[in-house]
Amino acid sequence: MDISKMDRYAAPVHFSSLPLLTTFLCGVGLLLLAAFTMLQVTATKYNRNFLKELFIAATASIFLGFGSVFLLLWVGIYV
Amino acid sequence: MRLLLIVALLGAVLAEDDWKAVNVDRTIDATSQIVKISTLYSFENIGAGPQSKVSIALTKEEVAGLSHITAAIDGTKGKLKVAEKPVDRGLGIYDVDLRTPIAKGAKVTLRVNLRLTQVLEPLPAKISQSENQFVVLHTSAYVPSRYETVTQKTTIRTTQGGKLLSATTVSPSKQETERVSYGPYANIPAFESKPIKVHYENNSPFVVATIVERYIEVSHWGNIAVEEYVELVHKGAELDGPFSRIDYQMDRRGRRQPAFQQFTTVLPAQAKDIYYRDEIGNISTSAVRIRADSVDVEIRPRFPLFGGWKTSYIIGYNLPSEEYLYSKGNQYALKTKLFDHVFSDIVVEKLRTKVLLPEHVKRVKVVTPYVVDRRPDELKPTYLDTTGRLVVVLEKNNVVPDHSQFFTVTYEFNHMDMLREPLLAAAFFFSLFFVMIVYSRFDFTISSDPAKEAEERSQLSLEKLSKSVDSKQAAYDALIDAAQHYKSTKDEAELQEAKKIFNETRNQENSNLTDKISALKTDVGIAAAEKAAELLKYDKAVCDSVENYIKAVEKSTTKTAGPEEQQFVNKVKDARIRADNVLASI
Repeated sequence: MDISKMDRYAAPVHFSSLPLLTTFLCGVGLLLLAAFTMLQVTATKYNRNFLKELFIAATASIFLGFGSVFLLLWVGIYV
Repeated sequence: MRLLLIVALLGAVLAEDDWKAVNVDRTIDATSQIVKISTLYSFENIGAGPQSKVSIALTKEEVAGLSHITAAIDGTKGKLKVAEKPVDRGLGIYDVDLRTPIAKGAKVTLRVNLRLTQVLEPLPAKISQSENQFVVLHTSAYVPSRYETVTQKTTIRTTQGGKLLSATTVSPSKQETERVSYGPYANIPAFESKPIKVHYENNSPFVVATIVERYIEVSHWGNIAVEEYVELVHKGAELDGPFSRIDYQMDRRGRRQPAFQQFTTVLPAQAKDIYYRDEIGNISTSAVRIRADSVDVEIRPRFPLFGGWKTSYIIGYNLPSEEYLYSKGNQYALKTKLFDHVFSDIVVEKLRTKVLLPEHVKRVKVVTPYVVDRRPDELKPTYLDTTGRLVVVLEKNNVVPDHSQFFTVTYEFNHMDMLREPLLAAAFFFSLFFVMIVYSRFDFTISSDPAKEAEERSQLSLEKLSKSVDSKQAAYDALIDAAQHYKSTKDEAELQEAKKIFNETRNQENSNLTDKISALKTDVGIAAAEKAAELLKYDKAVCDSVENYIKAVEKSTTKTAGPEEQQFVNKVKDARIRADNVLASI
């Protein structure tokens, strides 16, 4: 394809919004991590709820995953 | 008859010479390490018909050192195609395609630019620190030509303010300051040559990059990272004897010493996060100046480069993708420099440009402005990669600043693939969580502790009991709310409905409690169960007064709560406290 017919490529996330995204996503992720840890520490072997733990773990890891990628981009590691 | 035959034979021989060089004006700029030859040819078509190809000849030395050749019709900007032909009688032949045929008898003026590298020979080959550098230029007084030349002239520019030791005389030739001129010579036959030597002072550093490795890493998160690894060698006259830092500092020639002291690298205007380092680490003797249309990095290597000395360094910077990356659908095109400025008049022996594309790109195509050697593709795994990124490797030998041109890499990429990186990170975190979940389900206690287990079980039962009590209390609250609501609507049916729901909830929770208490009896003990049984009865008094309360509400005409109603609310509160006491005692 001819390059003159193409558009300039802009990043899906602008550089200036990276700090905010990182702090928000990592922050929520860490809070969920804390909730998960609390759950793990306080639960006894009679009241463990597998689905609840799995749900918190999945949400936390999604937030932490996206947050850490944006953190990498923010600090200049362009993945 | 015999004469006719000779004429015919001569005609056959001359038939090859379809052109005649009417006038040739050559300028050889030998002030730096690159010999820049600019020749203005004026050709006349003496062939039988229109022609569109003309040959340019180069001496053997010129062919050996040739790095860059361009030909254009004088006065126009468009470059003409130049094709190399086999060597003819000791001259390298290059065919220039004129695009439009030139009619018989018509003239065409061509401007041919050559860039020759490593053709100047330092003489003496070794000099001490205080001496100046002298070099010898070997060329021919006559412009090499495949055709007969009517008039021609050559001017050789030597260094400004430098000495001219000697120059071969080919009358009429003239030695002036900063230049030697040869000619004009009239009617020089084809393939005629007259070797000459010009020995002059040239203190410009003969610094050659033995390798320039240029990495261009494309990230679809909006960045193009460029990094260059450069190895420099001073290939001028070698330093003979010791090096003295004091003599170097006090040298009155200053910048005009034949040593390589500092240089300026011109980066694109959008360059940011610039770094300049080598194996040891950051080299602090550099400065960045931001200009209107470029970013200049003033670099001073760790030590000045004298003849025969080497150094190497890495320079890198980031560029925004908007300037160099183009897209349409899943088609992407990267348009960037194959070779970029390092310093003026640099000679690069080997240029290796590597383009790191994102993972999972398809149908990669490379379009270069000149011929380069495309090496087999490589894979390079970096951050958050699974299989590794595709690396396009391009190589070219003998590169000069004129090769600093744009090239295009087109490829296909599905932008959903960008999600893979954060999802990979998420999967990593999830695996950690999952390990925790599984680990916490293992029991590593060596001896069982029945007291502790019982404690945990009773804790669990208590939680369940308190939950039932909570919902029972919530039922009272709902009833009170409904009664308040009735006061404004006076809807009898609604109130009865609320009462019905309350009764149902209470009975339900009481039966729940009964079950749990009997479970408690087996789990914890009879004493606890007896205490817990109190939870069935603690609100009996309140429950009995519900009827009275409803009646009071129905009778009430004021919006505010009457004394009876207030009493009921208090009773509910008391019941709550009593229940809490019971729970605490268990």
